[in-house]
Amino acid sequence: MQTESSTFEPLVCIKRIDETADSATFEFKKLDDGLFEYKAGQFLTFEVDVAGELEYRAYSLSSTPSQPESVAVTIKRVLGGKVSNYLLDHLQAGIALPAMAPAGVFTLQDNPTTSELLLMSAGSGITPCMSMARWLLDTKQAVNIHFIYSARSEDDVIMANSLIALNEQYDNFRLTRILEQTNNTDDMQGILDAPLFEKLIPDNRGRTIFTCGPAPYMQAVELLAEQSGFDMDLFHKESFVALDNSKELVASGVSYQAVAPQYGKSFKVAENQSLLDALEAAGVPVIGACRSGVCGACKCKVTGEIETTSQATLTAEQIAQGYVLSCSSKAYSDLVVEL
Amino acid sequence: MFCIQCEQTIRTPAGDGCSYSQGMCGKTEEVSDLQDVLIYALQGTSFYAEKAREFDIINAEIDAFVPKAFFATLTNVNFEADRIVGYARLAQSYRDQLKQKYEVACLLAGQQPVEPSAAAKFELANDHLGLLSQASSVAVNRGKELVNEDIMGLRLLCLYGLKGAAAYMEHAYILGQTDEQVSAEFHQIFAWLATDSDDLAELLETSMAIGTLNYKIMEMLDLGETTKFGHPQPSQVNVKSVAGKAILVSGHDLCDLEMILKQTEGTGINVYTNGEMLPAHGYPELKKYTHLVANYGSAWQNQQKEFASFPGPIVMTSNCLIDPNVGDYADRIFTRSIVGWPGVAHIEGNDFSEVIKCAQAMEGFKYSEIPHEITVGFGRNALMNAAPAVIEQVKAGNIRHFFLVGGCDGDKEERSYYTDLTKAIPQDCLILTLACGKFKFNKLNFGEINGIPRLLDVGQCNDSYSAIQLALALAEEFECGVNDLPLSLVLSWFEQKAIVVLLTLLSLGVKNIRVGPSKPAFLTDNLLNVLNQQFGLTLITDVESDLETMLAK
Repeated sequence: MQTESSTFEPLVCIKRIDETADSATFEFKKLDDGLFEYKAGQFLTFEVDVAGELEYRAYSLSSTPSQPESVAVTIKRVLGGKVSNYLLDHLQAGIALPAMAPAGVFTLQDNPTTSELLLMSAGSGITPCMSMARWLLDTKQAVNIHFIYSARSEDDVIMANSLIALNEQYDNFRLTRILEQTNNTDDMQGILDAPLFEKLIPDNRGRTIFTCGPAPYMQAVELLAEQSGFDMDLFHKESFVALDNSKELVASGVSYQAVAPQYGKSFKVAENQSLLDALEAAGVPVIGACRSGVCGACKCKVTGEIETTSQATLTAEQIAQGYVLSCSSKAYSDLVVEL
Repeated sequence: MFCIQCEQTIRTPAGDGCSYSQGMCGKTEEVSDLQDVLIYALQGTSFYAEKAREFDIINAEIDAFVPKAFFATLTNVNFEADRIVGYARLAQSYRDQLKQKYEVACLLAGQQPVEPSAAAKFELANDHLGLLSQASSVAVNRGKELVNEDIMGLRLLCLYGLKGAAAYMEHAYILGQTDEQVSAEFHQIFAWLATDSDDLAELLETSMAIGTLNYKIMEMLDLGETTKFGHPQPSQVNVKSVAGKAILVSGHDLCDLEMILKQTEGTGINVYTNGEMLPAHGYPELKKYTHLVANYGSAWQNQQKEFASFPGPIVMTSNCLIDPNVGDYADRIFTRSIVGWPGVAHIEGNDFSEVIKCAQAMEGFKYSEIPHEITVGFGRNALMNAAPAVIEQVKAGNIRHFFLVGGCDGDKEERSYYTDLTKAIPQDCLILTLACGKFKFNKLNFGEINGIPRLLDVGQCNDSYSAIQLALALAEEFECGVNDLPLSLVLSWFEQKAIVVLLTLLSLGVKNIRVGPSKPAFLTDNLLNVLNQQFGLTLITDVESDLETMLAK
């Protein structure tokens, strides 16, 4: 059924660009040709029906907000990746997908920054960094960008031509590609480690890092930055790439009883299990989108004791009424939950 | 008002059945009462249709009319008082015609005409109030104070079962299939039911006779559909929308769908199937139309949301129709044949230009969604073609068990049992499905067993005929009875077509069927015990224990 909800708006795919053997960029416009409003670094959450089950996935935008007629996301095939692989196999120009409005705080505006920017990414994590670079350059901001991108080989570089074009066009954009396998002398060979980090960033004073990529990559960047004495107030990483270890946690420990009277559901919430996982397991129609306390899709009203790690998007009034983000909440007593 | 024919009927400690000012289906007390009057009048017609046959007086028009008008009283079919009254008056005029011919024939033969039954003598009141005041004396549970609940339950089982059979007779008739023997037997049973038998054994026997009769009717229907549209072939069907103007066709009538496809050819309008029309995509003579683009929505109980979101007109060719005012689409839904709702446009004849005009005036789907294809079309022939491969996999030990999970859908939460069950069925088992109950799980990915899809969609509810044929073929191959096969039937019921399919399966001797989500309210615990003792019929319990029992077989 075509979406009628106010949370989701259908976006029509107008172009598909196959970037590498396992990734593609999809450009979208609004049905009414309306303009997009967002900040570079934000993401879109799509609702995707995969074999009869609705799934929600967030993808960072790679486009620049300064060209608001369309937006683009880049999707990479992942082993066992239910939604990403489905979209790569099926999404073509002319098809629409329901999406939530752009969201996220991994942006230049929401974080302390300086004019010396290190945009460090790996794999499909390039997208928010690309969006930031494009916006900064397109709007002629007085910044210097060092764009450091890691990939397995030249064939795995996403948006390779766009990166080269930016490198050629702008004096304040410098590109470094770190490739595990390469014969190209313009590239650095290897993986990002301490000596390479030191070589790339000999002087880290007054610099800001934005990093996005697979979780181990971001952990490595964070560790290297700390070790090199980087001012961590200026270190920012994308956080919605959450680790899903909820299944292991459910097995252990105490659990509480919860009820969702609107849906006639009664269920257990294990200690350490997110309320979102418990609601989903019970069949309560909650929307779990970013699953990391950013997008606000999973908000619900709770009576009971809750420990919560994020209140993003909730108004003071909602918080006072007992609203929480279920993805970022754990139960500490029996609960009554309303959507 | 008293109506207890469907699964959602009101159940209270004070007694079951819809007996207030409106039924759970939205049928008003007025319409319900008039439907009771109609049924009784039709039974009078059947009385003389049976008697006249003794002199070879057979009127094909009347033989077609009686089951058709009876079908109008099935759940979620006709909510229009005037049309119900119209059918009742026509029934009585047909009765008078037959009565006259019968009496003349008797006179010529020198015989005394038989004493007419009360239903045959029944005279409709001249005005509306008069008709309504007749309702209590002809109510389906008339005389309940005189007989025990078991007798009443059996009378209703027979009446509702025969109503399901009547619906299939009408479907078969539209496809050009009639059978004199079937009509004769139908009239005989229908007329007899009006005599309010209190003989338990005789009523039980009649319920089985109705099942047997319905087997013949489903066979006719199968013949009609496959003759006209070819044998269903396994076919991929998109269940997502496609950009462009659109018409939605719901119900069971493939002929209406064909006419709509012909009349929309070249107009740029896309045609979608809904609910029980899904199997249409498997028939060669229907799937050849490229503008039959997709199946839209799910089962009937979701129509108030799904039809509301459909950006084009909707044609309701048979059951199930529910209040179109709730979703605010009454001005773009069209009814056909016996279907009716007050204020909704009804199309007589074969001209759908009004529907096409409506589609053209509407926006249609603004965009296409990612196509999601499911497979349908495992009708009798396709199943028979697949049978050798299936048998080979059974012998090789790759297929352990067969499940037939099908029947009606509905909106009770307990119906999630059917989703949970099919998800829990082990990977080395095949699932056959039919009727709209399949929408609880037919979009899930069940995978395959060495090239054989694990979920085989057999078709509409009446295509249980095809499933029976497969079971018989398997039993022959394995030299055993159907009940000895590693086959379990788990049915979901909502209305009277499902009741008659159940009676057919029982009359064929199929045992250990599970039925849910609840027991028919008209069946008493005693009757359920009888069915359990004779046929091993049980109600569903929980997925885990049911599955364990079924797989242990």
